[in-house]
Amino acid sequence: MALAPRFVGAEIKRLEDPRPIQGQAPYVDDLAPPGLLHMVILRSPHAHARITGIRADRARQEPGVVAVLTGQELAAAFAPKPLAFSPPGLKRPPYRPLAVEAARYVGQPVALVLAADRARARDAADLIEVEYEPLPAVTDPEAALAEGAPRVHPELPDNLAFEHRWQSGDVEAAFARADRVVRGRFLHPRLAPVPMETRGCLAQPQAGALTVWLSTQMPHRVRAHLVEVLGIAEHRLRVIAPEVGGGFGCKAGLYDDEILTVAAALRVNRPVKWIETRSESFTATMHGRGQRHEAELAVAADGTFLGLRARGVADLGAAPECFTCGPPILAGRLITGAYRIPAAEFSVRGVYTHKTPAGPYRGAGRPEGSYLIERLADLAAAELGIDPVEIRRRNFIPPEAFPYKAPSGLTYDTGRYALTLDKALEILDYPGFRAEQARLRGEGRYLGLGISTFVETAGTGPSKALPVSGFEYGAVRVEATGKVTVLTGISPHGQGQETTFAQIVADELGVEPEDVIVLHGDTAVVPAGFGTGGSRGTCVGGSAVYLAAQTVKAKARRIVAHLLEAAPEDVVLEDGKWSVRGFPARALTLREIAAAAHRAAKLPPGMEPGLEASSVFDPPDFTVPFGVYLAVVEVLPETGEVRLHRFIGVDDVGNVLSPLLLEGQLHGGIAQGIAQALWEEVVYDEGGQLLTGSLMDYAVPKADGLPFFELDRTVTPTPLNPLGAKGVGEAGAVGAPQAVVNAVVDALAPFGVRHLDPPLRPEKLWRAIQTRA
Amino acid sequence: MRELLTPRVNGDDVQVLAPVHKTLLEVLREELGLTGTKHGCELGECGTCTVLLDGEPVLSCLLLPVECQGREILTVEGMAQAGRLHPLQQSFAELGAAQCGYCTPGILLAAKALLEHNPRPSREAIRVALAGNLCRCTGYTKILDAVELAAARQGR
Amino acid sequence: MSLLQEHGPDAMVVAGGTDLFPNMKRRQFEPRVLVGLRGVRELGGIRGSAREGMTLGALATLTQVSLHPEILTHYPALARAADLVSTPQLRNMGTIGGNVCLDTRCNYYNQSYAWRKAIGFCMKKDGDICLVAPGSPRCVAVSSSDTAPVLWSLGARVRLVGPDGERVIPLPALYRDDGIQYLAKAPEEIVAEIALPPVDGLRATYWKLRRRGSFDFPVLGVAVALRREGEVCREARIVLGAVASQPREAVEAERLLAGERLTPELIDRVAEVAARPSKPLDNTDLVYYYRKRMTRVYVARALRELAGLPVGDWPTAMAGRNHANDEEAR
Repeated sequence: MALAPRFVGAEIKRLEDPRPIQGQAPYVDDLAPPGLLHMVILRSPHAHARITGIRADRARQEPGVVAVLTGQELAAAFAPKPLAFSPPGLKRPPYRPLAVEAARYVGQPVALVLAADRARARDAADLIEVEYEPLPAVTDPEAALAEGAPRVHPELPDNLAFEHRWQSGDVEAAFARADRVVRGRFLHPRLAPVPMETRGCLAQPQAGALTVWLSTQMPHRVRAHLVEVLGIAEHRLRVIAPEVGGGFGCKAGLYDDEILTVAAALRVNRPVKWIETRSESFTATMHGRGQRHEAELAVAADGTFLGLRARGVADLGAAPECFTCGPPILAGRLITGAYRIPAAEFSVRGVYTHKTPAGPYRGAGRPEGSYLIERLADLAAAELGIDPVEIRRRNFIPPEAFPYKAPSGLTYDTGRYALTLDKALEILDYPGFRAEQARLRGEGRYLGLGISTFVETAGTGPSKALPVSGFEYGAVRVEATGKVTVLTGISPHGQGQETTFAQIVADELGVEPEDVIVLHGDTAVVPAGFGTGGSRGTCVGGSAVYLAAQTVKAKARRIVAHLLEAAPEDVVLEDGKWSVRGFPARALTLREIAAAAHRAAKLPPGMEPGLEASSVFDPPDFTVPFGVYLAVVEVLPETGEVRLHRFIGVDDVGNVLSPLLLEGQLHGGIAQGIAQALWEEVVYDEGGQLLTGSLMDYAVPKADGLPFFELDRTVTPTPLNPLGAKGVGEAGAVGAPQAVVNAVVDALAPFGVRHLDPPLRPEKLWRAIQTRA
Repeated sequence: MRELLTPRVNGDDVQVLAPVHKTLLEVLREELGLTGTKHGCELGECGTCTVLLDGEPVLSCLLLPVECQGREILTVEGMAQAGRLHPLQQSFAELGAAQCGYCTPGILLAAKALLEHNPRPSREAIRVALAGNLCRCTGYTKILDAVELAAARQGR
Repeated sequence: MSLLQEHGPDAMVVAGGTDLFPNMKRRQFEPRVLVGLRGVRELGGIRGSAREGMTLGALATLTQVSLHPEILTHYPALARAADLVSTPQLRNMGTIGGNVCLDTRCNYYNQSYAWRKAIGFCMKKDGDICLVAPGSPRCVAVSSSDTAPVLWSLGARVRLVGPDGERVIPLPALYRDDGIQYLAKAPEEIVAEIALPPVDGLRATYWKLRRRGSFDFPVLGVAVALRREGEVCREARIVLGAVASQPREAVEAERLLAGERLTPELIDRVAEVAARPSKPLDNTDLVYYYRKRMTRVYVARALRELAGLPVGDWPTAMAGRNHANDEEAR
């Protein structure tokens, strides 16, 4: 049965689409059960303040207000929230989903109001009088480490939450024998994920059971956390992720305001809905990035990379959330990039500050690690006068070295880095570009090329490498009419796996994709799951579905063999027809096989009726996708404006199942990466007030700000899962920022510019040009 | 305090008694059950709540329904005609221009108004027409492609 | 009118709602009574011609202004300014009257109520001091209208209607350099219409600085209008937007142009002088020293455009609908 698949790899229209294009997709806020109460959260306007009193009488007396709850009243209800990432030695503050004695960041929940009407609840929240005694705040993570800095948590000795380090090879010797050492300090400002749908939660207690609808990437994980925090009996709790309007990492895990919604509903025994406003979202939803590294690369005169050192500081914000401690550690795993660097060391300190808790945002540490080495590669090339393409080639891990164990301990599965680079340079016409660049410089025009030959990790993740289980669940059930129902534990929200998984199953069982429905996002429908995140949906979730389909297929084959009186090994499936090899005329369809399986009268002796199977897939390791991004920019010296003329991307994410959806993932990730390089930045003032708290101040890209993406790919499958796919959700966001930054620095080389930190706002570039012109 | 509103919504004459403080967005969603129009920011900064008022894209989060008396409102629920998808809905589906789908209704309507004014817009004109709608998933490429495709088909 | 008089400071008028409603939602405005102008037919419409002058009803939407054939042809700077306001949706709702009366903006003011409360409120709303310039006796919030500098440069007049009748004033007389009392009209007076004088050879342009190509308010606007006889400038107006609490005319620079030919050298000198009255503060997007410097660059570009000289690269942030259509036509 080694026929070419009909559907996998083909451009198939999204099966999801009838819903969103007609406005028929219900998101949390579209649901309103009878008797619904709306919850509004009063949040701290101060970065750090003692709470000396809360008076809620006026709010309670407002007509329509059902309850006002404060931290004091609810404190006993919560057990500590479990963390999906908890590095050894992590110092954790006491867990308080509603502030009790002090508020520790702008936006921290302080009290909540329940009312029959949302506007009424909002008005009542304004009537709550909270007495704050403002205290000094610290917003810079390095300042937070200094002696005498305001402490975020008085219970802890200092603001250092954890320190993580590793070393591999003889780093000191590598630096001792280096001809040159290049150094840099690399900053990644905090970023706001800004899903177009803000977060929201609806909890409905009903007859001893509880249903929670949540805008989440991980309904099963949410259920596990709610069970622990609120002590709910797991079998009576159903969590549903309805349609979810984007996540990008910020809807992984479980937030305090969501826990409060559930706690409030249980308290008043009525359905309660909380919907985050956009303004609220900028302080209540975790920020990504917020890391900085000092790094140095030891190089030989011929450009060979000998050793690498990097020390990081990560701004964790006021408290650790589920995944807060992950990205700083993940950044370290990628610092040697696509290059064979025999010796490396990495350390990072996670630091509490009076800011919104940090967490994963598309890339989650990988952009930081990848950026660091790609900037250093350019700095080394400039220092040695070697072409930046050439220095990369000289240091690439060669194809025969895979599987390759990197100094960080990460094993790279497969890679053909030079192949991908060649393809990208060909699309660009590299020699042609350099000639044009030189010619235009003569005319006073400053073009630059940025090269990013990045690697990243995907396919999260092997259970053995995670503090929580990392497998995924999948099930395939052939109904009596031959239609197929697939269950998956991932929880897609735009990625399109309802289509991809239908393609997989349609090929395996000989039906059309339209004959397959993929159900997800409901703990009562899907027995187990991890969810969507870490670029795992297709390569891990899809593999589980594939394995379940294999079991179903084997059983179907035995049924066919029995009905056609042949051996199971001789049964072949071609064009939807199951027959005995050499006898195509007598063929059965899945519908007929399913009918036999459900009718149960003519099954082989001892065979159970029905035609279904479930499976789990626990990946043996992370996959390592790679790619080459080339950005061509022009910087206008008079204004500092950046023109992004071209963006070329050649990705290798292993086998491609749904080309159309793959492109969509890359476009979105690259757009976010470009935006990180050019526009986006969460800014706090020194007192801890957020200055970028609206879509006017926080510059999300618009339809008129992005170039046309020129994308291509190479295909180097991974042996780590049966689909050979590596994962694509984050590649764009990991590889793009340094392509753009490298390009701008290249454009400004004539002005002596060696480095600039994102975002590359025009005023920053203009100033760099002015001071060095 | 409630008021009687009488707009035409998706081709139907509607009468609804709605609280005066509600925006058109809230009336559409909460009083008329038309939840295809979404909340995005409520401050006119994202375009998610776009509907067509007498054929022109406007932000329902900044409109008082009393301003819409007797006027024609089109929401995403009214785009398909007699069970047939609008060409833009078809092209969005074919090219995968929707991902999470949250911004999609607003973008479809803004694009519909563009094509009615300018049946064969340039790529640049499409970008400008959609510059008031944020999308965080797609990088806009497939959305622009889909509008071009729908325009090309209409022009045939 | 009687409603406005009856409710006094508790009442506000609303036309398009695109400035008022967001401000109300952030509690920067807290009127108890809203007086809708939409139903007042006399306030709509665009009338007249370039020969005899035009009248823009206050309720004309920014889209109508930007696409009106007579305006596009003869007052293209106004069409461009209107076209560069915010987004297509906002321009369909927002009116020319609203844009002329647009509330001044400031990083310390355009924030949620909780934010402003936490930092102790500023004098523009609920507080006593200026948080941008703590010693300042007045509010320094920024005039952020795109159309006002252009209308000023074109010599527009404004008809105000109040309970005691109506009056017509030159547009500059509508403004005051005070972030709070930025309009020199009585609260119960409304802007009814804006009158443009006949074109009479006046050619104008508008350049806008902002970070992104939509949504953003101007952090610098440059309107330049010239009347030339042959090669010689007879009359020049250079009006800067978003550098103070009202549009600011660069009078000294204008004088340099009178009776002169528009050479590249003169343009550079005029631009340098024009930038002098530009005193941006650190209370908008993009830092003040950059905006100050860009005043010079943008004035030079505007003058070069009018002189038919190359203007350099067109800023992506100025890619409005009309520009896209021009590109298409080419």
